[in-house]
Amino acid sequence: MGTACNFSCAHCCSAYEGDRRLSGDEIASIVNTINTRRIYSLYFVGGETTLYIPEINNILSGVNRIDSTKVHIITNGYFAINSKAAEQVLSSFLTLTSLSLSYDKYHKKFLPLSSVKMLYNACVKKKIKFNVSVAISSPLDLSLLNHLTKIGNFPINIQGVMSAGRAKDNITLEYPCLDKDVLSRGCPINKKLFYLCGRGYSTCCGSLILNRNATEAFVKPKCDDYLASNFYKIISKYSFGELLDKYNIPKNNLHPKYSVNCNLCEYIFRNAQVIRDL
Amino acid sequence: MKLTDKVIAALLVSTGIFSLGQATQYVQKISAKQKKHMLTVAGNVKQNHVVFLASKLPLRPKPSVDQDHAA
Repeated sequence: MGTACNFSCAHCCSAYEGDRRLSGDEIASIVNTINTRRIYSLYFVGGETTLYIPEINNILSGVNRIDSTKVHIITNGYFAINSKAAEQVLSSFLTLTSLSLSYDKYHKKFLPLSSVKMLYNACVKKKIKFNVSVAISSPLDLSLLNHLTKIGNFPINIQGVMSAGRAKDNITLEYPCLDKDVLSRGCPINKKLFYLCGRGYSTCCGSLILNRNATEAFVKPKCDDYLASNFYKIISKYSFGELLDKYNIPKNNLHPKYSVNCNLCEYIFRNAQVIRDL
Repeated sequence: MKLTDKVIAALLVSTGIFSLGQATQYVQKISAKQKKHMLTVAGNVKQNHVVFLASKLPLRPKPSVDQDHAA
């Protein structure tokens, strides 16, 4: 939705500062894409998503089949200072199916645990599905689960800190060895569309387009142009192992960090020969 | 591999952050104090039937999860 956030977490995958918002033309394009491509599940992310509720409602009000569309948000939960405030923000969405709260040792510096409980309770009351997304830079960070499980019974999404944005080259989860299964995998989300504020459409929502030096080959202002791009054709067709073979990139001695799909994908598509091919 | 090491490895695989091979290597490298720390987490996870969305293990039925709030 935009780049504005009221937290400044050290591990944030966003490389952008300030407040970049969707223009009216971008909102119209997104609504048109949702309707023409019959998209039934929408994920709104930021920056901090709840700073963009008017824009989100603008989009939702243009969706033709809103009653059968699932709406999900990811938030830092800053607004959950008490039950009333939490419920008020949740109620301000035209519709909301589920909420994912980002909470980990980085977010913890800005959000008290009591707010996690407030938000969870508000979601239960409003019948909104709730889960917590926890980014870790060490397995020892999992100790946060001891506190989260005291709040309630909800799913938890554990992720290694993404090597992008503010975290790039500063914070990362160390992998003991390469998980060779990564070579048989392809991008797991290449059937999902992502709109990056001010840039356009992509199926990538990872480090490849979130880092500052992302090239225009990976993101296009028009959806049809993106789906016709060489990058989309390649990423939706080949596994990472096949891509390494295709471009004669050695598979031996790959660093353990390339166990992560996004890290390996970025490694492949930052290769000069691959970029020329796009 | 000791049973306690297996419990920690299973925790790491169930969260989805490590493959079994990576989890096994990780457990062999950490200190006894760190293992104790991880075992506490594992016990808590088991006791509370925590569901991990990115798990590399198949989901099992959850006896006490409120279905309205399980993704």
